[in-house]
Amino acid sequence: MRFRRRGAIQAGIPSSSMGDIAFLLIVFFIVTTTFSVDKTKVNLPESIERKATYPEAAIIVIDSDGRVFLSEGDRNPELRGIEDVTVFALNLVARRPLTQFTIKASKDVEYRYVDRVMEQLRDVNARNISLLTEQRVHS
Amino acid sequence: MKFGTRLKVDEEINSSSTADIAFLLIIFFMVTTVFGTTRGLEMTLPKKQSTEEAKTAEAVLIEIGPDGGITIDGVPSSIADIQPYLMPKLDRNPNKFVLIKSDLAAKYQVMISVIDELRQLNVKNISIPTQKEIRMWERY
Repeated sequence: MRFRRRGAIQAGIPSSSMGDIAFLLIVFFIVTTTFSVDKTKVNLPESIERKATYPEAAIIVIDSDGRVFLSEGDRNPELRGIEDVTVFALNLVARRPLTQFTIKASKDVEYRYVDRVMEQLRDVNARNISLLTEQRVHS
Repeated sequence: MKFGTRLKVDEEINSSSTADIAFLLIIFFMVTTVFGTTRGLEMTLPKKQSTEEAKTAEAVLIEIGPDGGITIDGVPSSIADIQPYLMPKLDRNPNKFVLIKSDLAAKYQVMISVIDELRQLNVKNISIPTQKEIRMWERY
């Protein structure tokens, strides 16, 4: 009696779907990536409680020397004087009363600078403010 | 005369390098992506016209000194004392006002630490008067 010979089984791992998987990952990265316009380097204070800030908020940066940088949220913040916050915020609030402001202040800065900025924001009726922090781990 | 048979030409487009290209692109995206720190403490400032006066007699007053030391209702304390002190008061009155007054020379981190402690306790009424307001209060 003669048996039929079985066809040889290929030993290679099929890799034709690798490209599909990789491109799916690329699409995922493209969709989830949000480019941060603010590139100022500031040592942020630390807190345990943190909430996500509004991504298109206006940014007020106060560095450790008390210098103030301002941006409407669409470009890297520019160096301005601390007294310019009023005009800057007033313009934004006049256009959009619910404009969000993100204060990104250095943890080492004296509170007087933050106080001055907050005072000006209150004067122009800005309501929504986020104080940017870094995650503090429980000690 | 016998001619040699030509080798069969494969008609498929070679796609074995597609995965390599795609993975290179992934690495490019991963390396160039900068994750911005976009989390922090949210605050809603009161309306200028209708400033809600914190009832100072009933409010808990946390003062931050220039060296970063804090006092709670006049008693020298530390950041860790805030929660044990406030918890029973909040149990009795969840709408308890907490006033934070910071010295202008104090570091910003101390203020954030105090707000952070209050947020962890879900304090609803946090009042941070600005220097202008403090001067106004002192006048009256």
